[in-house]
Amino acid sequence: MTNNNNTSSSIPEGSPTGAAGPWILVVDDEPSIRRLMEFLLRSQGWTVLSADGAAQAMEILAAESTPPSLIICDVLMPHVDGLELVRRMCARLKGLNVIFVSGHLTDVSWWPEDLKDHRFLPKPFENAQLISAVKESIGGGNAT
Amino acid sequence: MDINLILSAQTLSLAPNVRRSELKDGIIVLKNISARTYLRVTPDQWQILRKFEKPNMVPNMLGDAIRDRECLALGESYELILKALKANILLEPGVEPETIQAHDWQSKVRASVLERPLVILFVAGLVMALGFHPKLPSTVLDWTLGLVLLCASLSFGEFLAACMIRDAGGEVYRPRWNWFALPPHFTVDMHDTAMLRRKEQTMVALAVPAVLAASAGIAAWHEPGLAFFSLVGLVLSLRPIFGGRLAALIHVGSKRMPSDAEHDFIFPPNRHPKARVKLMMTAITNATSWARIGYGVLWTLALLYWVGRLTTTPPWTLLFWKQNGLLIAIAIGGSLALMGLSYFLWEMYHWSRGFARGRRNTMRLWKTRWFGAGSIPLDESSRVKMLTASPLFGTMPPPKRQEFARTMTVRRYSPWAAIPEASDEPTHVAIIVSGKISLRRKLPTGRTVQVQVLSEGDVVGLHDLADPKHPGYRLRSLTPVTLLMIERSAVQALIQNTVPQTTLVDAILKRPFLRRISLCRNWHLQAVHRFARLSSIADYKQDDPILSEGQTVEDFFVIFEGDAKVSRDGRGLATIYGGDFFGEIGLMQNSSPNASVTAHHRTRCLRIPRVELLRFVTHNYTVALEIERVSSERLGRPLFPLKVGDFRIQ
Repeated sequence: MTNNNNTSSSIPEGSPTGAAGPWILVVDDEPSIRRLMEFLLRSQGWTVLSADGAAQAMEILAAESTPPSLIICDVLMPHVDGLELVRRMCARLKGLNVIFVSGHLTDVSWWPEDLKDHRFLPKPFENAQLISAVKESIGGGNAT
Repeated sequence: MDINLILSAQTLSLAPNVRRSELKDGIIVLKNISARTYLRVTPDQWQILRKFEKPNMVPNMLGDAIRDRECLALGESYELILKALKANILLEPGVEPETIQAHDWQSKVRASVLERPLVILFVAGLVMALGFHPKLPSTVLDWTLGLVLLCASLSFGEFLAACMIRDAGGEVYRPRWNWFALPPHFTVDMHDTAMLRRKEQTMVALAVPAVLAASAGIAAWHEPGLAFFSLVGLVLSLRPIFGGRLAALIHVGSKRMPSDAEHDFIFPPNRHPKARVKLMMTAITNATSWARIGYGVLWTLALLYWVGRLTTTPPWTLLFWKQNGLLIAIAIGGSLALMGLSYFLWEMYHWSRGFARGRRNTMRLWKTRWFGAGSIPLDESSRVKMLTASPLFGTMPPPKRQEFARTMTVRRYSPWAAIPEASDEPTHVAIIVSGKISLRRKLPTGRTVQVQVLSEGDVVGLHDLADPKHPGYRLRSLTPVTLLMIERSAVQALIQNTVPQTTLVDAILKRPFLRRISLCRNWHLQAVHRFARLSSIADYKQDDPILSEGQTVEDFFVIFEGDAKVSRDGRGLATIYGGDFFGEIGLMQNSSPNASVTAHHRTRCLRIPRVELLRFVTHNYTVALEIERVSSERLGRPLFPLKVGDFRIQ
């Protein structure tokens, strides 16, 4: 279920799907949070592509020539959840950097064994928290 | 979606277009009208599903059910949720199931109008088919007309069934000429029969066999060569297994039929050999199962009779048994033995796989501890990883961890050796890389007792800081031990300035203790950490009451150190020791405890408030199932569902 409007709004001009160099993929079904993350990361100079769900994220991944430097992925999404999406992406591309975000897992004390090396950021997070988590994940500095 | 997510964090809601059948054999059938999906539930299960009328999460639903004392067995509740989600009775937000449109079927016949004609056709047809002598078709015309008769009978039967379903208020789906059926005939999806009343269901199920019986009977009487195919159709339509409709309607005795949440489990902890054995035992003790087996025997006898009538040597002659008796006995005995052996091997395979999975890590750990400690990488990057994974050092800034990793030294100890560097007045702090260490403390009586066993990942040399009331710990290795040591002076100031006391207590005292007690043995490590964070250590003097019989339970307790006496009405029942827990039955049943617990020797307990425990338990199904299992064992009966007299109201 591709939302063309969303895709085009989140992809900079100059390439068929957006990223020419290192880039970050944001996947969240909540438009306001997705846009906020995009805005925040772009303001730091990173190239950001975004998707509203698993299908669109996989399309973007297939269209890009380079893998993303980082994937920021919501956990609870309709149809395919974030855990399953990241598993599919990891099966396709090894060594992906992922930060999971969710506002519903505060009381939960489990995490899939195969995804335990990825970071988790509980929602709501502060801007500085997100930026610092991204910097730590992709080794600091701007990706562009 | 991940089962963990569904059962702990996903908001679910009851589908808006759910229709409910009336109660039949203790079962209600729920239908998502637009998706044409069905779920068979008990009235109690329906009450649980109704808690999702407003969008709700499973933990909240369970919390409400426990509070209202209407919680089902937890395995059943989780199974119900997953099955309801699969059947689109519960929906995730933003997910719309595919709509299946019902056909605008105009023809209607009341089932009560057709009741007598169908029964007469069925019985008379059956008698005629049994009485007259059908023949195998010998000419092309016989084959053709026989097949045409079968097609026509099947089609007419399905048509009558559809008319009765429609008249009874059900929906007719996908009426079509099915070229791929054997033989091709007019078919209708009759799933909606499940929503009808018992009598209407019987008539719908009887429609096809009655028409087939009539055609087979008349053909056997008038033109025996045409009866063969109708007879085969009749036998197949009356089959006792593989979806036979009439057999499914047999119900004897007062025991209700099983709901969808009580068989064909999809919730992994329910898919256990014990559960299958339990199901089998339930089936064996159920009169309905035996009535269906009886029906199956009758069906087989009828089949043998008809086959015999078509042959020159029927099975009721001695010659037949002389010729074929041994072969038949071998075939039946061999099939039964093969089935039993296959089932046994299948169970053994699953059991051994689960057993091996459970023991694999233990064996690997044992091997590394005793023979493979030298092969563990201890370079700087590995040390950084170990520090990052440590619940204590992981909270420190990365540059500090890097610095510690550089300055750490490796020490190895043989089994049963004292570790003086981290004992009494420790000079070093160490992370256990490999091996087990006994943490011992001197009692006022002068005796030294083991208070904890520490292992890989645990930190030693800080127990006096974490537990200032009880200093004077001594360490002794239980296996070959490898430690990564840092000068304590380098760590102490940083810990005192940056690490909160609660984090220190969690990391040094509570987590290593919880990881080894029976309650937490099967928990996810994160659940252990969370339990440690939620609990607090409470000290009790000798004879202090910890839990009083008949009073409100506000906390759940795990004995951390010492022991405690359990009594009822002033009569001593038992003594409980470190790692034992109590208070959970009152909390889970929302009732008063039926025994008192009194501190005995310097008792220290981990205490977790009621609200926090329920929140923790309902968000972690493995924890909830473990507590339910242990509590049921203690009670001598299932913890859930509650029945009158099972609990004491506070």
